[in-house]
Amino acid sequence: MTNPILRRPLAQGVSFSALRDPKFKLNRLSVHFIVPLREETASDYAMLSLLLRKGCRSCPDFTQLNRKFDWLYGADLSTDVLKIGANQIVTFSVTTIDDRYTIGGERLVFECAQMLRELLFEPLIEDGTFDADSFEVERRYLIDTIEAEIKDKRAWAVAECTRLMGRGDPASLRKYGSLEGARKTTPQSAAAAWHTLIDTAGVEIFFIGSGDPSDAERVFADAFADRPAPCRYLPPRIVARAESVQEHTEYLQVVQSKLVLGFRTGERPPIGEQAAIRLAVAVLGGTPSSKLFLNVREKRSLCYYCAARYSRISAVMLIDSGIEHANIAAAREAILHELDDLRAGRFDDDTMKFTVLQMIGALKSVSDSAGASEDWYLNRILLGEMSTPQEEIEALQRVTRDDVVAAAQKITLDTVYLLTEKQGGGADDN
Amino acid sequence: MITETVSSPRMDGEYLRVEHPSGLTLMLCPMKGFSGAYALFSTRCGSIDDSFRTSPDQPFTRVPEGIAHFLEHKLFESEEGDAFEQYAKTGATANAFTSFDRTAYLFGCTDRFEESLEILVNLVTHPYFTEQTVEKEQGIIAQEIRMYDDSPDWRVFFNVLCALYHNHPLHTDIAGTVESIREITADLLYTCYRSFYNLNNMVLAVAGNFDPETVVRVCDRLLTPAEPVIVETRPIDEPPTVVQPYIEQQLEVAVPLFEIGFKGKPGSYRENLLSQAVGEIVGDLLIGEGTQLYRELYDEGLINATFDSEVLAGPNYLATLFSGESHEPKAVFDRLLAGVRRLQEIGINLQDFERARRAAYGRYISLYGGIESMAGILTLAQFADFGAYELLDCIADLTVNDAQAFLRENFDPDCAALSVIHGGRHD
Repeated sequence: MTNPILRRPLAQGVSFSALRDPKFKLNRLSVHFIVPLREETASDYAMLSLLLRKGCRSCPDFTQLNRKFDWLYGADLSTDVLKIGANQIVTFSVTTIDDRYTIGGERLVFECAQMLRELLFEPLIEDGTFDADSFEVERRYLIDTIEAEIKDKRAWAVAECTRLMGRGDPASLRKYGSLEGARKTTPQSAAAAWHTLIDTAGVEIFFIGSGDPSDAERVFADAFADRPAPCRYLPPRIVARAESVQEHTEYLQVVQSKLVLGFRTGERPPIGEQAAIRLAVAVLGGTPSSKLFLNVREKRSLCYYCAARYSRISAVMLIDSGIEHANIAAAREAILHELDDLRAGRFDDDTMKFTVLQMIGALKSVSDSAGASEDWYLNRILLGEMSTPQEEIEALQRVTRDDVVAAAQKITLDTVYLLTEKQGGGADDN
Repeated sequence: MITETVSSPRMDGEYLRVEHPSGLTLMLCPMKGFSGAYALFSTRCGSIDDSFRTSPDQPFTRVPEGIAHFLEHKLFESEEGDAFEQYAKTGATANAFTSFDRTAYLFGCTDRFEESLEILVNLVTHPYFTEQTVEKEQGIIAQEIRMYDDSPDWRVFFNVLCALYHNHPLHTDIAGTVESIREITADLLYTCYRSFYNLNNMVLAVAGNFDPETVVRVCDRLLTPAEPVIVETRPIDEPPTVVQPYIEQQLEVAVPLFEIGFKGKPGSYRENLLSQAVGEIVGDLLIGEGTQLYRELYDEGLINATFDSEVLAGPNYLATLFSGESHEPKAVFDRLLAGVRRLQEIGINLQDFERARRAAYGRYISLYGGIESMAGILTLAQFADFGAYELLDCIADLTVNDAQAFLRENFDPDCAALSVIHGGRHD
């Protein structure tokens, strides 16, 4: 049985959530700063994820800092930038082994929390600026990262389709910002962004592990005391129906084409009522026993992969597939045919029953991983509706076949994105 | 039935090692508090096993590249249909993979464990292929191969192995080539299956939320004892030298990718796997984030946060690899070689060693904390003949002299190679 997560306010706009479970051998402490995603600030905030991990006043040297983490049993400091809806999230996490497994009885929770606090609150900013050389190295990395997004063609195709569907909504911006944005950042603008982040961002702190979270809670309660007013988490703009289909083709040097279809699914239901559309999407293409997998991939061999996913936050369904160039038209037709079948209720009860079983399995497994648990609860907090995996299981069990069909009938095709090679091979120059 | 309990006071954990009368070894680790169970049924048949025999009197049978992976795909299909369809009825998540040295079939579940285990055991022990199904699979796998041909991460890795190894099948793609898989027939698959999928050559590892008695009961019910077999693979005549110190390819990347490999001197399977941790520690001491060399390269913009290292260890190979993104991969290679020579000359500092060892200790502890990684360790422990907790004890007992020896023997600058993937228009 899973322990419930305990979330309590720590300061203005700052919450601390703790989930203790003796089965974990590690403790993971994360601080998520949540800000509205905006073109003009996205790159500065993304830079902070790179700059703050380089050192702090008590340990300004990057090499010495890494050595400190080595001595803390290889404590892993990881930083990340996420996007959930129209929110940009700058995350800093430290994971290390539980105190039970130390050789010398060290208090690792306390030491890691202190280190993380110092990195976040005492950055290497002097006279309103980060060090220019260090900044330049990190900015180059950010630019490379943005340019390298194209390396993973499957992810690139999905991101492009999402961007096209957003049509200017902040939720369709890239999480690291644009290339132009990255080029415009300066050591001063990043330093200013740090002040805004510390003073105004929404902050969600998580402690997940077998250890005692109270040391970490105290450290951050002190750090965030006397904070100005909090910000609200932003919901994305929901487009309930597609009025027409926009088509976009991009040419690159690829051996296999990527086809991504983006659909609207109606108004976003409250979390407790999302089970029907989630189940509809899973029956269509969410599991290895789904219609897309079995019919389009396995029976007709039209795609190497073909899967559907639903975004709870934007109420969008995406179907992404990897296809041989010659099969693009046939695959598209086959995918849409499966969707028509779903809308018409042409799926058997067993398929639905088995899909529910698989979804329940996935929901029950959330509690087995600290990372998955954190991801689950952070998303719930940003959606503004706290629910546990168990509640979601119960909601799934109540969904009827009619609910699935009704949900499927609200699905409309909005965007078709194709990444392919020009006939005769070779990439486009653009 | 011989049952042995292996426990670790250090980790406060234990598992059972059962020699089932069928010949199969069971490695069973119930883990309290977990919702899920994870089962891994593996055979010692990987992509490097391209030539084998089961009796010293026979000649070696040579099979097409990619056959182990092909067999994995085909075993997922039975007369009753696709394995995914069968697992769908129990709610389990299933998959399979082929690596250099093994093929594994797996599932994870939170309910109906026994039914899922029955599916797993049945699918692995009941091969079903016809010429028609083999032909269809050739099309599917050819697509998979083409997808990997597009993947810069995959290519940079295999290219470095091509540069390091003359004759070792390590350098051939795990899935084979579009041409080699065309030679695969149902008969060849059965030949391969009968040799490698003997229960004496296999292990079933389970970790998480399950009762060991259930596993034994399913095995009693479904498994027929197999005659003991020793599968001998062809001896590989691999010189210590590299094929070429540099290899490059052009693919769509924004920043060039690189992979640097040091060809090590392999010992036995057990020795190679147990030396993995010391190899990682040495890699960390050479160019880990706590070193001066890392700092210099990082500050000069020659490497970035994607830089990583790993030790590739298996039955008859041992190599240390360093990978990342760089606009000047050759400069990274030269500086790393200089760093190796310098450390070999001045020797490893004791305090640095202790620091790197402590970090490795923490990293390894995390492996025992997840059901998937635990099942993976249990499998390797059986194949390579070590105790699953021995890995951690090894790190605790390591000395700086072990690290010095690894550095001396497995980091010859003349036995190193650099693989680079360039982007089209960017450089």
